[in-house]
Amino acid sequence: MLVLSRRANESVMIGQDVVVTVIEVRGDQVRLGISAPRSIPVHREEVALEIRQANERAAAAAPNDVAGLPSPPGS
Amino acid sequence: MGKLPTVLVDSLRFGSFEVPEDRVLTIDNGLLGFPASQRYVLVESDRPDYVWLQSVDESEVAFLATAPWSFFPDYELSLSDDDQAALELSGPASTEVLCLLTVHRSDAGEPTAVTANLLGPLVLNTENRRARQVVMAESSYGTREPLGAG
Repeated sequence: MLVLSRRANESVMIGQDVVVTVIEVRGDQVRLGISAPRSIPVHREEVALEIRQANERAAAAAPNDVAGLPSPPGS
Repeated sequence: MGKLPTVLVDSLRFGSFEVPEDRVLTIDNGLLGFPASQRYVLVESDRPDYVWLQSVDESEVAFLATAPWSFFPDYELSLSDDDQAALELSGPASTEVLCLLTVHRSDAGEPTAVTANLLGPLVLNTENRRARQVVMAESSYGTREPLGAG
C-alpha cells in the first residue's frame, strides 16, 4: 500500500486516467473529487462490499429452487 | 451469408450448450465479486418471470434474476450519465433491467425466502448486448428486498 500526504486542492494520479483530488478537509472528514473514465465504476467501499456480498449470496441459487419461487402479485 | 458463429457455454447447472454469438452479453469488469466472468448468456427458467444469468467464462457462476417491476411496480431506476454513456443506452425501448435474486435457506438447506437486489440492478442495452451492474447509492433500496409470498 502506498501512503502519501496531500493538502486540500492537491491530487493523486492513478494510472493515466484517474485523478483523485482532495477538495476539503474538515475535522475527521475528507471530501474527495474523483475524475475517472466512464468505464471505471467508482463506489464507496461499503456500498461496493454490500453489492459484492449480495452477488456472492445470489450465486448459490440452484435449478430446483425455481419451482418454489413466488409468482408476481395479480398474476 | 455465413452462419452466425456460436459460443459454447459450459455450465455446471445446465450442462454444455451452444448459443449464437449475438446472444452473449458483456459486463465490463464483471459483477462485483466475480471479475473473471465478463460474458454471460440469459437462460430461460421453468417460470416465465425468472431467468438465469449464466457466465460463459466460469461454468459454476450463474444467478437467478427477475425484471423488478413484476414484483415491485413502483421501482424507480435511476441511471447516472456515466452509466448511460458506458452502456451507450439510447432509450427505454432498448434497456432491460434484471435484479439478481438470493434464495435464503434454513440450516437444513431448505429455501425460506427469496430476496431481490434492488440496490444494484443489472442494466442491459439490448442493442449492443452490453450490461452493467448499476449501484444506486443515493436510493433507499437494499440488496435484500423480499419478493413476497407466492
